[in-house]
Amino acid sequence: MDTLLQLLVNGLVAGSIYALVAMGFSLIYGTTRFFNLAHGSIAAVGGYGVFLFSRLLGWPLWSGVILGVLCAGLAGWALDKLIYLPLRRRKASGMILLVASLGVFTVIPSLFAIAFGTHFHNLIPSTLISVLRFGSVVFTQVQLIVLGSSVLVFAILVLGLRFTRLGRVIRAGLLLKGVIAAIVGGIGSIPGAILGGFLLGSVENLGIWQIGAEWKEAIAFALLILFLVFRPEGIVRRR
Amino acid sequence: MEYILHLAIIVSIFAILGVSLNLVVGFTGLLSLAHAAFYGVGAYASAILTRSYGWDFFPSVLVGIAVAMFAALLIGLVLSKFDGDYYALASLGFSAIVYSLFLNWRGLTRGSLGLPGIPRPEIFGMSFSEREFFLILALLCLILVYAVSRWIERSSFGRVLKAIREDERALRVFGYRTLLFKLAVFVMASGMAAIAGALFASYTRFIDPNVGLLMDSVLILAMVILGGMASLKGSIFGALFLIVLPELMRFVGFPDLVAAELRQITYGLILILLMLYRPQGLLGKYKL
Repeated sequence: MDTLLQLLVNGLVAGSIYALVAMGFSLIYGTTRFFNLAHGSIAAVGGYGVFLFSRLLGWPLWSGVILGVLCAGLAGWALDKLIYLPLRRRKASGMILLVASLGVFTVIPSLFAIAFGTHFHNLIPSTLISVLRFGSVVFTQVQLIVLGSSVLVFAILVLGLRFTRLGRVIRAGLLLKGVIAAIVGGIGSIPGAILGGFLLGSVENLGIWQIGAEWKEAIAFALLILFLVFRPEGIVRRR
Repeated sequence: MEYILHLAIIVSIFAILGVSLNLVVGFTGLLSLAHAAFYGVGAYASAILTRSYGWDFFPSVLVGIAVAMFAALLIGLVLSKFDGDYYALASLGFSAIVYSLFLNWRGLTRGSLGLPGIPRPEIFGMSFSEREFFLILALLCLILVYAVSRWIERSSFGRVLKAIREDERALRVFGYRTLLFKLAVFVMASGMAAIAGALFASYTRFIDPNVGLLMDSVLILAMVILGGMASLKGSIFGALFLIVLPELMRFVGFPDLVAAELRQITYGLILILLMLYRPQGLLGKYKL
């Protein structure tokens, strides 16, 4: 029982990362019908940005996080300006945009590999990560921050889309995990992206427990394919 | 000279993959990212039979084709329901699942250790261990695959495929069961990919799960699009260009790791530039 609970917590945390990426992907798809396979690579720009400023340059973590987010935003803007916007102006088909984003998806990880190497990097030495206990369930501080920021971004997006004019205009209109979560949840739906992220995170973690960690990728894509076949509209049907 | 022969063999193997994928992507308009998975299935099937069970190369290729076509039938039954973005994404999902199988079905594939010591083909006691002979074998396979693809292109079956690309719904209205046509072309192309896989396994004499990698599917797709959608000759040219171009970078003298990443970057950039400036490819007849 304790194991199950802990796994669900881990699933929740992993799920909120997927949900964050899925929300972005869904926002792009919902507004421009652009199936941006490279969206997760932009998320990675954020991650490496934090690593660059906080670890390599030694700046405080909070400033690294802000700069990392700015870098990712800037990268997204530049890609749109250089590649996607000219294609949209020309009324290129969805497939052309998809293949272009596949190209970006191929290029960005290799750029990171050249710049930072292919091994894992720790942002914070793992001995410094504090652990919080709730009964038998253990959270690390990082997990709580991840969870908290997903809730925050979700709240901002939902409120923003509902109450601002920009939101109404938009409304009219990791990598692949975010894409999977967005589709499982119901593409174009922000609450769906959250649900999809959490479902994907939980299923993956239960799968790791019951089947084995080496099948994690296969489990995620199997979930995607099951949904595509049996419920292509996702958990939340978009009105 | 050895080096040029080596390149020619690799180009022939990838030309088989390009020509066969063009049947799915160029003719039928289905963006499959699973092609390298069937290449991997063919490579593993043939490698296991020749290496562990002492089979001859040629029967092992036939079994490899059969296994790949059977896998493609199962996967295609699901995949053929989709089109557009969803076809691409679902095929990507299957390619990730097949890769996991190569990596984790250790009893059969030895996982990431790979399968070393795969024998070179022999026929009538004549060995293909010389590069010259192996190149002839690879070229013969390429000609066979090209001829079959050309025949498909000109047949009434091929015309239905092109019509699916143009307007699948209209075709359904006329009573064509488009799902069967999509399935059939996918299964045939996968069988051809398995030939390329078996050739590759027996040529390099070693395979590991990286043969079915998604990035190889991206590379094959780049060859098809660069050469030209629905142009079979174009796919051969695409394979030639995309295999030889990164080799030139070798002479510039980058370290190996950087060179490998630069190759990925080149493939990605070529896809982006093509989409921006020439989405139908160099010899293409049809735009994505």
